[in-house]
Formats: sequence, C-alpha cells, structure tokens
Amino acid sequence: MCHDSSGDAAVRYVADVVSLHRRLGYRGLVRRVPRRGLLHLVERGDGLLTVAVATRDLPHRYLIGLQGFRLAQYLHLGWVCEDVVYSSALFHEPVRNLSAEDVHILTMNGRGAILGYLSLSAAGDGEPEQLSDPGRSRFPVERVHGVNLFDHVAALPGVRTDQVREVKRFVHSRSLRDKQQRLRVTLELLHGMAAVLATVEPAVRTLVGDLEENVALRHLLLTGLEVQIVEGTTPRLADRDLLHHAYMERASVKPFVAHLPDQEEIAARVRLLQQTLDSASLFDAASLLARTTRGSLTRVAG
Amino acid sequence: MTQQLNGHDLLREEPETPTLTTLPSEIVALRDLVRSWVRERVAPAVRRLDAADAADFDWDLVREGHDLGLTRLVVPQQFGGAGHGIFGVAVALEELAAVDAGLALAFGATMLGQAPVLLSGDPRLQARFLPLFSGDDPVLACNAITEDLAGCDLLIPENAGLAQDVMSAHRDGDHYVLNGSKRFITNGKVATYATVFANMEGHPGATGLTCFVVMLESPGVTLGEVADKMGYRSCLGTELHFAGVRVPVDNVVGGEGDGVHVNIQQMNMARAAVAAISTGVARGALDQAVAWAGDRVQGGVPLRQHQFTARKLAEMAAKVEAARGLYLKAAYLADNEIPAPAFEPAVAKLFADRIAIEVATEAMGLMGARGYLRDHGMEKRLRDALGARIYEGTPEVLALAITESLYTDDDDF
Repeated sequence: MCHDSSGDAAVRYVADVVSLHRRLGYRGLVRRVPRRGLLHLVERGDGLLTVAVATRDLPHRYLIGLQGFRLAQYLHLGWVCEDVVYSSALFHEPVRNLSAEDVHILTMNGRGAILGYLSLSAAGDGEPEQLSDPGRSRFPVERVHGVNLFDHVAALPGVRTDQVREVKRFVHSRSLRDKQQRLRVTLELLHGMAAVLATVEPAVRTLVGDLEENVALRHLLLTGLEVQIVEGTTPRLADRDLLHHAYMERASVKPFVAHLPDQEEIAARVRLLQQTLDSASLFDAASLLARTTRGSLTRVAG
Repeated sequence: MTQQLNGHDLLREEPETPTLTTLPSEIVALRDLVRSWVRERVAPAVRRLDAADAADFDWDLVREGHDLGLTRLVVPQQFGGAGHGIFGVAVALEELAAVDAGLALAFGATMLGQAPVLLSGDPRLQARFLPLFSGDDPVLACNAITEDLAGCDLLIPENAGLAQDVMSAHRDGDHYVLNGSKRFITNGKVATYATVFANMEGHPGATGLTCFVVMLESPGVTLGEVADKMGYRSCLGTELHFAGVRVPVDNVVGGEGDGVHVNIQQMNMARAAVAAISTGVARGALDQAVAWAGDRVQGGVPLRQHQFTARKLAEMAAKVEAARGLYLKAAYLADNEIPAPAFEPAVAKLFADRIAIEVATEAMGLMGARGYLRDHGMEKRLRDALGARIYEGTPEVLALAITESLYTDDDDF
C-alpha cells in the first residue's frame, strides 16, 4: 500500500509535478533528432504530429520530458504512490531504466504538448540472448510477474531477445477529453508502432507486455495482433516501488505475448491504419478496421 | 573531455578546468555559438529594439535564445538544463552584451531567478521549478527584491533594521500571504515565476526577510507600469503588486528569515555575470571604435595610425582584457567555492561597470559626431554602460562589500 506520511505536502507536490508537465511542449524535438533517428514522422496538416525516436537519439531534456509525461499521467490515474514521488523528489520516471534501443512513440498537438505516448522497450543494452536460454535476462514484465513467459507461450524458433519488444506505458494525456481526438491519438500511436515494427532492424518477431483486458487490449487487437494472455500470475513489487500502485490499484493486470507476422504483413497493416486515419469519418473507419483486421485473444495458464 | 552539443543545445559533459590563458573547449563552443547567433540575429534588430516602446518585448528573439539554451545555462542537466556554471553564463552574457546589453540582462535575470532555487538545496523545490526551462516554449524568471523605498537596505544586512515599508508576509496554515509591491523588476512582465523577498510580519524593517518562489499567474499578483528606461530597453523593468497572494509553504527558499542570506549568496553569484555584461558592453564599444579608427582617414592616414588614437585604443583594450580576467576569476570562484565569495565578484563588477562607461565614452569621442548619432549605435552603448552601475549593487554597495573583505579576509594571491 501507499504510505501517506507526507500528507498534504505530497499532494501539493504531485499537483505541481502534473502541472509542470502540462506546461511543457516539445515541438522542437523533430529538429533536434538526427534525421536517421526519426523512425516515424507523420503530420496530417491539422497540427497533430506523431514521432517515433529511440532513446539513443533523444537529447536529454526531451528524455526527461517524456519520462515526466509518463509519470504525470500515472499520477493522474492514481497508479503511482504520491508519497514515493514526494519523498524521492521525483518529477519524471527514472531515465536509468531506459535502454538506448527503446523506441518512444508520441503524438503532440500544435504547441508540442504530448497527447499520447507508448514505448517499445528493448530487452536491454547487453548482448542478445536466445529466448530459449533458461538463463537469459528477463524482460521487466517477466520480473514483475515472476514468470518466464516463454515457458508458457512457445518462442518462435531462433528468436533472440533483441527481436522482442515490450509494449509499455500506452497512455493518453488526461487533458484529452474529446472522444474523436482520443481515438485519433490512439490510432496515431498504433500506426506509429506498426510503422516502427515494419522497419526496425533486427526485425521484431514478438511483443510482450502486460495490460488490463478492457483497456489496452482493445487497442492492440485493432492492429490485428494475436495476443496470448498468460493467466494466473501475480505481480510482485516492493511497497515503495514507483509502479507498485499501477499493479495494485488496477483490477487485473495480465502479461501477454504476441508473435508478429512478417514485416510485409505488418506493412500492410500500416497501410490499413493509414487509410483509417485518412478517413473523413474516423469512428466509421475505426469500426471497419476493427471488423476486418481485428486480432485474436487466447489464454494460456501461467 | 567529451563535448556534446545536441543540435544547438548547450549541454555540457565532463567540464574542463579553465587555466589562466585558455577557456575549456566546451566554453569556447558555447561562446562561439552565442557569438554567431548574436551577430546574425540580434545585431540587425538592435536599433529596432532600442527605439521600441518601453513595454515592447521581442519574444521571437527570446524564443531563439531559449532554443539555444540561454534560459537554462545554469540549470543542472538532471533538470533538463545545460549544466553550465556561472562561468559559462558569464561568457555567454559577454557575447550577448557586446551587441545588446538588454537582451543579455533578460537572460541574466532569468538566471537570477533560478539562483535561489538552485541555492536552496531543496530537491523538491528544484524539481518543481527548474524543469520549467527545459521545454521548447521560452520561459523566463525574475528576481524581485527592489522596492520603492528599499533597495540597498535589503542588500546590506546592517541596514535591514532601517528598511521602510517592506513587502510583508505572514503565515496562514499551509500558506504564506504576501502583500506589497516591487519596482524595477527585470523580466517582471514576462516571467513565469519570481523569487520574491518579503519581510515576515512582526520583524522590524527587513530583519525577517524571506524568499518565496511565486508563480506570477497566482491570484492577487498584478503587473504595474513598465519603467521607461534610458538604456537596456530590450528588457523590461516592471512593477509587481502582491495583494493577499497565497504562496504554499513549500515555496519558501531556506526558511523564514533566511532571505538576507539567500540574497547575499545570490548576489555573489550574479555579480560575476553582471560584470560580464559590462565587459561585453565595453568590448562592443571597443570593437566598433577599432573598426572606425581602422577605416576613417584623417591627415592622410587611418585614425589608428595617429598616436593619440592608438593610445586610446590600447587603453580601452587593456581595460576590456582586465575586466574579462576579473569576471572569469570571479565566476570560477563562484562556481567552486561554497559559499560563493563576496570579494572577487564585487571587484569584477565594480571594475567592469566603470570601464564600460570609460570605454564607451572614449569610443564615442573617437567617432566624433557619428558617435553622438543614434544611427551608429555608440550612444546606446554608453546609455547601457551607465545602467549597470545601478543594478545588482551600486559602486557604493560594492565598495562596502570589497572593503569588508579587505579587513576580514586574509587570503593572499
């Protein structure tokens, strides 16, 4: 449970951190990232801009900004213990937890305020290992749930850890209240994710992560993913872990594995998402997308 | 040493130690970047900025400067800043002031508003305010000390008991309530927050001086008139009024009554930077005089070949060199001594402020009638030079600080 020994001071501090990140805009990010570092860049003429960049190509202050946005949204959702944030004087999620190869996908408005974000986290900065190696380092989701996901979902033959990405922090800005805008941002992020997966080297073969079934899962299925949820695991984090609340406050957060089709098929899905986003009627187009490319869900025992 | 300039971001890594004759390479890179921007973008705008209405402010240039990192030079990297010390700030401000002292002060005053937050050593205060400068939208800060009846009385501890009608503060639960007004606050009209010094009620004069960080969008804060100044016209000196402004207890720098201490530390940090501004004004005047005397022919030869002119140029150059040496030393010590020393920054500012006036006056004389015309910009340099004698310590206040050190410090060279 969250300790609240700091009381009102922690509440005020957290409110200020949230307010701080609401003020900050990052429209200049595109100019500050080397061209080769822009893994995805789309602007549709209405001010919304979606970008995908790896940690290694992000100037430090932008990295802090992204990590701050993540923290601010989790604070909004009540998924981070205010007292932990206050006592540690945190104003962003720790940068040290990031890998140089993590890809950050974000959608910004015309002012550069972040409206939505997700990351495709890499296994780490060490040498790639075979997924079948029982001694391999674990992905964060595996560490939290105390499980080797590939004991329960067969790994694709020959796949290494650098061909697996963890989907993390699929969040919208809490200021985003318009339903169509929320859907638009969701689709932009998914489009960005698919575009990165279609091109990144080495080719990503599998996604992992954890999610609530009624939230992020719906989004992932929109991209046609075949998601296998591993049932029966229990997340374990220390009381003072920054993300303790994120797991304990939510109904049920379950790990998943989703093997990806080949990059040609992913590219086809990128085009479908593109068509959906270009449609004059976003809701209708999204419904059509859901009907035609909706992925599948299976459950395996953990 | 590795140096990283992310785009134009002035991010510093593994700082080198300056020597008596060389600047660290990352400082040279910073200097050259600022010099290039100032020459290309600021110089063409100087006349317009100087002639503009007192309340006009060029956000476009400030945005460009912010883009370069000039609003976050002294902000540590962990807060998204460039991580330079006063040394880097001072070098950058000399470059700015060589072209326009007002713009230099707009960025310098922001550093002054950051200083109490940095000095507080309070990680939460730092986390709440310093990252404000790390986004892409320009953010400025200001420092609000001066009042209608109190300037030096708030700077000199011995005078604190005699200060009159000082802005007041009293505690009310988890907040303090501020009442009063400030004057001549650089950036007051355009800053996001101010570090505000107010006296705790019940303490005579300014003996309970306390520093608060106040968001200027807070209810009860109103902006007064912008001062119509003789120089430094591209930055704004503004009245700030505080009527029942509620400030969270978390926004106190240090503690109740620590304001004088904070202020002294802040001044000792800032004076090296202001000395750099005056040095920049002097250098700008020297550069212009050198160009003039190299081109202008009198008696069949360029002015510079006349012995009297050569002597004047040489004296001016010596003064600029000496002023730069003093501010670099002061800035280095301000970065590396805790607490920042009083003596060297005061000496640097006293000297630089004086020679800026001398050099600008001499340069104006060399240019004859042209020096007196607005079109040529030299008279603006002189007006700017006179301004630095007023803010961040008059010569008289500086003399008190210097003399105090002469009698109390036994440091030798």
